[in-house]
Amino acid sequence: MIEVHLNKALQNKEMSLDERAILGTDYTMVRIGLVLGILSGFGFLLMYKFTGQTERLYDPMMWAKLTMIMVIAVNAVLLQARKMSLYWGAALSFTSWWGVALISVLKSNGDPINFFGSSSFLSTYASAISLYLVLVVLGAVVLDIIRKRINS
Amino acid sequence: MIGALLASVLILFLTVAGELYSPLKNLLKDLHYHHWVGKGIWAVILFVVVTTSLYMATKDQSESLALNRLVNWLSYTLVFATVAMFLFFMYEYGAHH
Amino acid sequence: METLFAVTLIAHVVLGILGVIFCYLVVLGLLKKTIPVKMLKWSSFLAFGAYMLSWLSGGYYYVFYYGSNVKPGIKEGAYPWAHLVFMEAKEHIFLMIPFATFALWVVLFTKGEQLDMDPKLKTSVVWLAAVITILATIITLSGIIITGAGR
Repeated sequence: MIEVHLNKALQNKEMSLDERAILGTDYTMVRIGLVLGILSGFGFLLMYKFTGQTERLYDPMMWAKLTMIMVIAVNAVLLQARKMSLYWGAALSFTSWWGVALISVLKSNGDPINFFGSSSFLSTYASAISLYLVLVVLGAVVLDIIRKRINS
Repeated sequence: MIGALLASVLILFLTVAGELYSPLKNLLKDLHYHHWVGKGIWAVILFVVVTTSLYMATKDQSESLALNRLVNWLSYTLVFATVAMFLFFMYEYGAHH
Repeated sequence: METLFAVTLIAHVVLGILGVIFCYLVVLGLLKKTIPVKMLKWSSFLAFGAYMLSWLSGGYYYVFYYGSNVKPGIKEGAYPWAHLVFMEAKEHIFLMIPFATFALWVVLFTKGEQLDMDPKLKTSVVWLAAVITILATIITLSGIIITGAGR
């Protein structure tokens, strides 16, 4: 929704007060979602601790998820500081949110991601991050298509 | 700012010195039940004493010119102390295991 | 694990994360075109409060439970470095955070209104808030590593 609202707002190269307010609400909701996601995620980690499942804290897919969440947070700072282009910033944000959801589905189905032939922590983690980077590029293409459709 | 900076330096000093010279660590443990509690207490004492003293000494002076430099030095100290502690404990682990 | 230690561990984790979040909000707020001074004063104060309470609750758990019940298992297990490197570093790095966050709060409280007109000071304060956020994040991740090593 941020992407749609942002591109509609920038269509005439100017952002009205109403458009600014809508985007402000969008960003606030995303930030609330991030906070809730982080707190509930750590709730799961604490649950693993109390139920004797601490080995799950060394799950490479969980660490890939944590990496993506940190990308979301760092990306937001870089976008705010105008050190990240909207093109890649939007792609990173868009893909990271979906990536976190995808990893959760794969984890719950017990589907390992393994492109490097080994089941070690590093191999599985690297596989997940490699897939994520490919999806970031695909995400950039998808968002570009959405932008062009809105602007036309 | 200076209080926080000196407290960070003290924590780094007590940590590294305590690991290399066990009587210091034992002294903190004997005085404060646990060496880590002792480090926290002395850091708080130093912070309060330095901050209060400097505030009383400089409250009528303008410090805005020096403030951004002090803030920067605090950031550098935090980063340096963090890296130093990680490297120290990695070295200790490698040397003894 | 007794309920009291479970509660102190949960409090330590949740309050630590809240501290990270409030510090992160300070960073974001300082990067806006017009600095929301009131929000920054509150966020930095809440970050300091959260870290202090996390320090106290985590300290209680560490001194009275972790040392005798968790540490031996980690040191004798497959990941002794989780305690010998990460816990040792974490417990000392964490000690610096409340002082630094207090200093951040004081700067924002006393100079917050001037930051928009003093870009050098604003940049320095942004970096301080960012450094505190990053250190607290490293501490949080270290906590996951240490907990995961306790089997």
